[in-house]
Amino acid sequence: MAEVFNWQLQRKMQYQYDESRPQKQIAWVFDTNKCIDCQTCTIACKQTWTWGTGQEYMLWNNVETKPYGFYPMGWDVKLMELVGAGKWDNGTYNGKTVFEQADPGERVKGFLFDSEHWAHPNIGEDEPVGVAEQGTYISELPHSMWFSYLARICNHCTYPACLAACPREAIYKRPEDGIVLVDQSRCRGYQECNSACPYKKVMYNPEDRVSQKCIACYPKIEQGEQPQCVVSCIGRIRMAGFISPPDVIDPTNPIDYMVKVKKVALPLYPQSGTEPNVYYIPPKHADREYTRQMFGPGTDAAIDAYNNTKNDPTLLGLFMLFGSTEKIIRKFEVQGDIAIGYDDKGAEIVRVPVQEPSVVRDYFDQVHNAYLHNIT
Amino acid sequence: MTSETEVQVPEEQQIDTQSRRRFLQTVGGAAAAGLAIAGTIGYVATRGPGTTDKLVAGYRAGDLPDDPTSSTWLDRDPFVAAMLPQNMATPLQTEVDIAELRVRALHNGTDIAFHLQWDDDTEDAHESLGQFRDAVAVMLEVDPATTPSFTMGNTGAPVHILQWRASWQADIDEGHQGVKQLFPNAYNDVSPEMLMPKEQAIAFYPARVSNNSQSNHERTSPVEEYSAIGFGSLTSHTEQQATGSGVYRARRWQVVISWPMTAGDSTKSRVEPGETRNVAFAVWNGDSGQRGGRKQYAPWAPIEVEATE
Repeated sequence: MAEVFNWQLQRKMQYQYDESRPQKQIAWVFDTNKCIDCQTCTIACKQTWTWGTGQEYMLWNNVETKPYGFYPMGWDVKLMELVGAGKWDNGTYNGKTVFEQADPGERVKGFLFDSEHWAHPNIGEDEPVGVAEQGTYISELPHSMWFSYLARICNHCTYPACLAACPREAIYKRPEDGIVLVDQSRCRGYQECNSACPYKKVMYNPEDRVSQKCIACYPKIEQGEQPQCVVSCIGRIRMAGFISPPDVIDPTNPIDYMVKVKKVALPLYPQSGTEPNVYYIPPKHADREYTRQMFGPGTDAAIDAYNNTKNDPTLLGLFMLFGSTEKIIRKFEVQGDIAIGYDDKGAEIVRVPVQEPSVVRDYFDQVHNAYLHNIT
Repeated sequence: MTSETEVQVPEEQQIDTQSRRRFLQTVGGAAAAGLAIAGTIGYVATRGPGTTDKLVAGYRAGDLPDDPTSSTWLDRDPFVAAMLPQNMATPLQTEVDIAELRVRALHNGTDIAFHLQWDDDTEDAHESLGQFRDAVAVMLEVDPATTPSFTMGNTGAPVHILQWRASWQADIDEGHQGVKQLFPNAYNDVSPEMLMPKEQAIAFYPARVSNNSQSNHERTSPVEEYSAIGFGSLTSHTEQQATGSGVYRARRWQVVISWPMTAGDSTKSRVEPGETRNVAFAVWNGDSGQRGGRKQYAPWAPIEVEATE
């Protein structure tokens, strides 16, 4: 075991290999508040990558409903049993990661699901936390009656548990972009990675007897384009880019701005210790204690920052750049009412209005002699 | 491979296959009645044939029996290899599931074969999600002068490993065991091979495209040959020459692994009649989640390869 620094835990921790951060680290921001669970991302991924025999059950991208939905079944419940809700002290994690609490002779504290656990991707979908009585009216935040959507892909972790667990070193993290891949020529289907991944995003292919996972659409990343799940998102909840190393904050980098400057986007279950690189804007309407458990001690501040977006033209402009281009936005700026995205060479690739023009019509349409339901 | 309808003899009532067969020969009983009778006589059975304290690959002219239940095999006294848990390289095997491997060996001057027998309460012949297969392996030094470590060799001292898997045996006996066999009631609307020629559809199967033997759908042998230079370095040989066969019966695996003993290239072991070499073994119990390094092993033991007549 080596000692490495995990910035999300604000401390050093034990890991199988030495700290070796990639030249660039792929990262995403997902705004859970905008997700409508349409599963377009799920299907975009499915149709692109996992329609082969043996991959029938695989959803490298899935959207599950919290708190009663999960794919595979109960993955986060099981994870909570292992690492708990998290013991945080002023931003520092004092609990044990999946590496630090590995049993003697093991590399990672993991758990392996059988096929039954993978057979119900829609379990709990749209189920609220309780039964709404007739006349229930929800007027407060967070909501007393709630559910929220959680879109999930591989986190392409800085310290992947799958990579640490593989005795064949068949899993590698690309130095050029931090994408984590299973070498399909080396894998021998031991499923150690499936067991180790706290997020259960490595999957076993029983037809070809190897493990497979989200590849971050690397052929697109290599062309400077965002993955299929991002560009297909009709709710425009996603942005893919590259996050700077822990000691660097680049306010012109959209991922850095959201994760490090505004701290409006947080890692999922950071207490796992893998330093996951999908960052979520937490749901502002969901139960706060549950949400803190998922996203750690920064949850309240993140939601406050999100709620203040209307007064923050830079953040608002950045949100407007979500889903505005297939290209990876490496830098951005907001000039007045216009948000502009640039590529890695500094060339402009997109510009969008911070405030979209809108027109309010009268309720009554005199031409058609009709009342209108939608007037904006 | 046996079917699931195979008569299961309770462990405490099991007697050695050979003594049971001899008993049946003695009483002249019909095979159908034999198992029931054998089950009841288990309490009074002798401990069966003796064991040898030295592993000898006996010389036998002609074809070596591929059938693990052949009397040619079972009439030979076995060498009992005491199995140890692999507790050196993580992930570890901390407990011994399979304590003994009974080994018999024969050669005919051109081929050498091992008969490997162990008790196992469950037949695990499939690999699926969270589901693992039984297996056994034989390991030899490629070049004894390099004195490879028993831990799957080391740099500059490669080993030659021959592994039999119950899942590969099922592939041979019943055809490739994939999704349709593992989940016969599962429905899928479309797959690449339904929409395009095979040579195009293969692009959607990266493990097959990269010639990963793990994903070989056209396996012709339940045994695979590898070379290794330490833990995690297992590499499938380009040229596969080994053959074998495995049978699960009465809570017991009997497996034959054979290969041309002198025909391998410089990356494989070459065993000459009359010499004494080292051999090591490993065995996996799929039901306990054993795979990869989670296994029982027996370190190097000498094997005397009898001279030809």
